[in-house]
Amino acid sequence: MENANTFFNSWLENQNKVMQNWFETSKKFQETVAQAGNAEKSSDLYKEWIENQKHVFNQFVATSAIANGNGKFQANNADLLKQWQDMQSDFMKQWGEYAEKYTGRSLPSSPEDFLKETRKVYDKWNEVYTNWYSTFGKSFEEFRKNIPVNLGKDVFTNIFDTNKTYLKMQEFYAPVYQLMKDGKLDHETIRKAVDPARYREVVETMFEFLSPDKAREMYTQMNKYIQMFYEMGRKTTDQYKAQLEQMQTNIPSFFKIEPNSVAEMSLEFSRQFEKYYSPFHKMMPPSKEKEMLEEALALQEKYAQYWSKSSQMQQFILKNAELALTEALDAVVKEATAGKEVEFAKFFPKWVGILEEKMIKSFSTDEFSKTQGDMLSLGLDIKKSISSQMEFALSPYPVVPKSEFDELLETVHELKRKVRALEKQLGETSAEAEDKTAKKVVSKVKA
Amino acid sequence: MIYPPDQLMDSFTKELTDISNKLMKSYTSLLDVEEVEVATSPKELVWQSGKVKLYHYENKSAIKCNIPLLTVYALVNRQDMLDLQPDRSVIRKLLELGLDIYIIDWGYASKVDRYDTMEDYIEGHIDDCVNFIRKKHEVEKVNLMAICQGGTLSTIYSALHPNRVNALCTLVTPIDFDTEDGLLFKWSKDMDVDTIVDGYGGVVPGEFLNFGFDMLKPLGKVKKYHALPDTMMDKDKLMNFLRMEKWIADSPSQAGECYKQFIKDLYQRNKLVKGELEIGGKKVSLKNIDMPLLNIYAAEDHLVPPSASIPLNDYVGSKDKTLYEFPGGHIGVFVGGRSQKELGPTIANWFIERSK
Repeated sequence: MENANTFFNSWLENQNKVMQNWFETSKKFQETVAQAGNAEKSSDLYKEWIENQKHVFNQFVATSAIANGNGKFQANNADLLKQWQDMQSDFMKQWGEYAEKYTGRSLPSSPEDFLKETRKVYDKWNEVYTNWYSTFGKSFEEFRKNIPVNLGKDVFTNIFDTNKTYLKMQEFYAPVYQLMKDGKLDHETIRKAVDPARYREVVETMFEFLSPDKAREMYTQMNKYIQMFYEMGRKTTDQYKAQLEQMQTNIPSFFKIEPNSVAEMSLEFSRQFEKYYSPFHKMMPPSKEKEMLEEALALQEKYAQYWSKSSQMQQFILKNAELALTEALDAVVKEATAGKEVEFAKFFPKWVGILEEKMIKSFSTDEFSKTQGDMLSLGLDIKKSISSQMEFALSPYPVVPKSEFDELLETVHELKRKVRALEKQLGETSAEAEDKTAKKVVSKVKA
Repeated sequence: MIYPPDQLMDSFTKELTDISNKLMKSYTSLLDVEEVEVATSPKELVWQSGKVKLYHYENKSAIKCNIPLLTVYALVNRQDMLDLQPDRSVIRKLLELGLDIYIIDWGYASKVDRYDTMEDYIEGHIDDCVNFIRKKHEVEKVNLMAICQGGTLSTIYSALHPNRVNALCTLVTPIDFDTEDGLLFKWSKDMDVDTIVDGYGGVVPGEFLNFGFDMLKPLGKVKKYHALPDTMMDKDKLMNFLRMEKWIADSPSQAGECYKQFIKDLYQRNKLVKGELEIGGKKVSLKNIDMPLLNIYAAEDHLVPPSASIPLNDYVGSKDKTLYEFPGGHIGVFVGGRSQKELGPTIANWFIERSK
């Protein structure tokens, strides 16, 4: 632990210096702004900041190299610090560019103006933040590699992801807190401060398992299969494939707007597809190919239903998230009215607690249970259909299909049961025989 | 005055820095973890059939209980929970208090096991293990201590073979599935289990089950990992956390036929308490359970709510039956400090007294 602690202490010291440098530069930027703006001067400030930053990092690398005896540890961390430095430099550069654009604007005087300006800061922040996260993600992978145990790697990933949610929520909460500090927070202002799109982003980050991306992933898998299936014998499917591809691109955005319209769209697509193939379909004699084609059509419909259920599940989450936010913010307004400040560090666990309570309540309804059951069945039914069609596609090749393997397993299971029953019977018979022999010996001895 | 929006940038930046620090704190703590060991109490493999193994624990203390104890864990997750960390191990505690302990390791079900039924587990594996111990120790009956789903299977076994069980202790065991208290109980009623098992190719993956458990406390992970960096600089706390994480992640798949039957006959139709359950062509009557019973449930159990465990005492034919409430959750029964101080001695003394 000694190595890690020394490294961490150096790191903390370094971060403090970085932050000090940041705030000093930030203050100078603001002074520049107050003096009616000077783009050249802000560029100088940026260069100055970079120089300071380099100095701090180089010093840190030297210190940690001396402090830690393990050569590998030194080398890895020096590389990581270099990446870290680059990342912070990029971050500062972007911020500097933004500050230049911001130069000369007057400070907002009303909550409405403040919120208007805040949205602009948000947009910029989001850009900067995304960049930060993607750069950090790269160094994160390097950090992760150094952790010796796989479980530790997973824990680190989970901490990283949780912090991502935390940071997203902080971004959302920041204007509320600023208004609170200024004593301008009331129910009306808070409604204006809330950005539903950003909030949805937070919730979706938390529940990635229900995001449209997952549905898309599943759809892609199915799409690939369909393409492969038709490419194996039919060249007339280009139009169909094109439509599928288009649909795949459109689905997530439709999904976000109105789930039922997606289901309807997909069903309509199936109908059209069926119509397109109808003459050909009727001509086909009863065969495995015809069965598979029918199953492919049924699969389309199942997908539409799956999307519909999946989006209903998502609505459960989002509805609760909305209710939880309203309740948590109402509590904030109440405290603010009483003259108390609710910092984000206190708001976050409160919000999480309310959200979880609401979700559990919602999860215990018949409606949720039924929807979840339907979604599971549809999802796994689709999986089963894909497997059976894959088996059909592979049938000309010398591969033992899964269904035949299953038959074999069933036979093996049956045989195992018979062997066990026979073994038990044998054991009981032997025990009885031993018992009888023992009794005979006893009677002989007695006689 | 209204704060200028660029101050928001400062506050965001500060937050980023704090988070960087948290990540570094976690990173440095995890760097020194070279191994996460669980289930370290010494034990010997004494019997095996396919993937199922029977272990016998080494006991350096004096054996005070004349009848050996067979421990039956759930098919879901692993029996390592009973011996997760050396200083809070239920197994170590019971050994120290003089029990002679065997434990079944169900192994990891795969496609080969997809047709294994409840009968295979109860009349096959549990019965084989019981008979092995009876023969080895030359005893008519063994003691049974069974946990969660393992408790349900062992209760059924005890009802089918009361002449082979001296005393039965169930921990956090679901028996009456007709309850509205637990989400799993509610959700399973709307599950088309045939489609689920077939969709997964006959073996239900552990990840699917873990997903269901996570949904019971949907923000549990966010809470856990948000608080973690602040505590993980303490090596002991970190190691305890990692052992638990290892146990959670180590989630075996379920043999499809057994899973189907468990969900349909128990969760959906509640056949056990109705006296309608059949195993290997034989009706299971809980009234046949005439041996002493210690039924332990956790007051705040969200996986197996008390209302699913408590009724067992009403259905059995035993005259000597005890209901024990543990103040905590499903997992707390096995890893909490109270488990060591109170529960361990209660279980050990209960078995010793009934094995004279």
